[in-house]
Amino acid sequence: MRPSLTRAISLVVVVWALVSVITAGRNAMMRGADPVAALETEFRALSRALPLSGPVGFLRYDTDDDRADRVMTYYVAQYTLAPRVVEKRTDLEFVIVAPDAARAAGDARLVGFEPVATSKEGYRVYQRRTQ
Amino acid sequence: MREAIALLLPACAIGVVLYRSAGVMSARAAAASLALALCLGIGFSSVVSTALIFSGIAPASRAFVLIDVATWAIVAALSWWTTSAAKSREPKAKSPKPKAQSPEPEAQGRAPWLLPATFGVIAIVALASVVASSMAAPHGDWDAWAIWNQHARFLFRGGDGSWREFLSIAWSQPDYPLLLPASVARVWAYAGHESTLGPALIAMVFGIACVTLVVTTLDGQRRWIAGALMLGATTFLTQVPSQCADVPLACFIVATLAVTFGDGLRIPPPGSRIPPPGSRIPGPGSRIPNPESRIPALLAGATAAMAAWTKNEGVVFVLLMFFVAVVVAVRRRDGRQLLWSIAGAAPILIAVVWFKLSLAPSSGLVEGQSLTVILTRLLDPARHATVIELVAQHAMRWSAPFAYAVFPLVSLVAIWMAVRVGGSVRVMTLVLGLMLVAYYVVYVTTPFDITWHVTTSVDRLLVQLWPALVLTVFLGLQSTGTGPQSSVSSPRSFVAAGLTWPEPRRRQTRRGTVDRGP
Repeated sequence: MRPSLTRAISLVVVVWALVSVITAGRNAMMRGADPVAALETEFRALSRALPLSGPVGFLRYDTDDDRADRVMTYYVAQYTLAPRVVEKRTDLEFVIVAPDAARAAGDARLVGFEPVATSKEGYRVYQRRTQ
Repeated sequence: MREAIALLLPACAIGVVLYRSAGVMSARAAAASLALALCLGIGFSSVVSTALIFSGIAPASRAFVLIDVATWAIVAALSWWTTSAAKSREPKAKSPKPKAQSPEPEAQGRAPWLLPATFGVIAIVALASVVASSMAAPHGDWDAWAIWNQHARFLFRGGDGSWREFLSIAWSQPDYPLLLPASVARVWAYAGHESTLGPALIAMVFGIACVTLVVTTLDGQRRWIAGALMLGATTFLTQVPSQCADVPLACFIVATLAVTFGDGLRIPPPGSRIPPPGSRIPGPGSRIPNPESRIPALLAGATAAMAAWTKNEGVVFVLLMFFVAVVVAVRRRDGRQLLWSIAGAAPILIAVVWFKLSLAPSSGLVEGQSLTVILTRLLDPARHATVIELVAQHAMRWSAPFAYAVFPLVSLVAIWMAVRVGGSVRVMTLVLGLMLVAYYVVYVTTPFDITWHVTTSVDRLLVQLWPALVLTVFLGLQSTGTGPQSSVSSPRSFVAAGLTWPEPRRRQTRRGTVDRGP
């Protein structure tokens, strides 16, 4: 390869790299608040009401349960509450309920449960009532 | 900064071996050794941590840290003692002179400082970008908190044995190996709490090590351009603070290739005779530094195995590198280096096999798959068309908006180099090409929705190969630029030397200089 061509390609690569990293830096600094950290704070507030290990229920959203933000809520619940295992079922002693997960006019899935803890944004832990 | 101490402790213990084996080093070799020691330290300490956790010693307990510190102190002492013993056996007359073993090529041009200075600016801005990203998303990207850091939390918090519960969470990829989660749990053990600094620091170490290994393996001004090219790819750069396992895997891949085929570490084996700079190397036989050279083979074996201990894709890489080592052994009719490579890989591979056979559930990619199903999918042209279209789209957009088709273009240059230069570059290109083929086959036979599978992973798969691809291209350019005495055509590494691939044809030009054929 000719030296002049090599120099030209080198110059292009270096300038391109400089522009790229500056843009990446600017984008990193303009990143918004971390939703994971916010959700973690919510679930951390609930952890005191839960057993230290074992399975914990999580109420499915009535609609659009597989929507990205709802999947994230469930996953962050698991991330925060480890080593408990958060499962999408309600036949357990404790069930976590997101603010918009339960049906508005009383949710049949929560019959027999009572709320025992609530976070700042309205995430709740329900415990099965003793018979 | 207990997190930093946790990372530096095993690195120092391993650094003793690297430093004492090499004797006096150039700054470049020292940087390469430090980068390698940090990666190996994280890798080996993750195995120790996993063993401690499995034997019931919780990372949250004081005993965990005490045993870990004691382990690395013993390793450092043993390393010092064994390298001292080896040096005392070595005849002084044969000791290579430091200047001869690390000839620094003279910088060319009117302002030789300009390129290193520009690279320095790029590296500082890149580091600032990584730090800013880590501060904005302290838990990392989606896969980091959904998989890697989550597994780390189970290991750290589940001291009563409940850490095994993560193996039952199917969506969290419980079959993924434990290098990263165990390392994070270990750093938290030193910190005494689950600091977000721990995983961020590990991510930064791997990112910096990737760049350092590429830059220090190359000669001359090209190394700065290679470093700039690596960092300029924003998809790679944004993956560094993601706290996922793709950059660590990339690091182990490039470390293996650098140790095996590169010259940057410049670790002369005891008693080796390094040809003085500028001298022609007489023949293929004399290219081998010393058949008893153990360190590079041990290191290459360890780093390749750590790729498999980092992520499942690393298993493909370790198998390919094992195949290369076997070819070397057969063609040279000398299996010693192969044995040293296996010795380096063994502790890690035992951990991988133990984890896969006794703990991990089967991968979602193979669960429920039968040979008939796989063959049916492989013979379905529609699946091939979908995968090719999606991979091509992502490859072209990789690192956009400031780059278009950067990965395909650099891949084409690597292929061109492989054809033109041959030797190590050809083998490296082949290994990377076969990795891509393996990824392609997995996509075509995936039991998941192809579009979802490809679009959510292909960018990260290309990140895994990016540093190694850049290294391959620039080793090729180095070879064509510096003629037959380049480090690529006269590798210090026994493995590279052992591959007696067809040499590129050389012809005598009218001026009497030796030139490379096409």
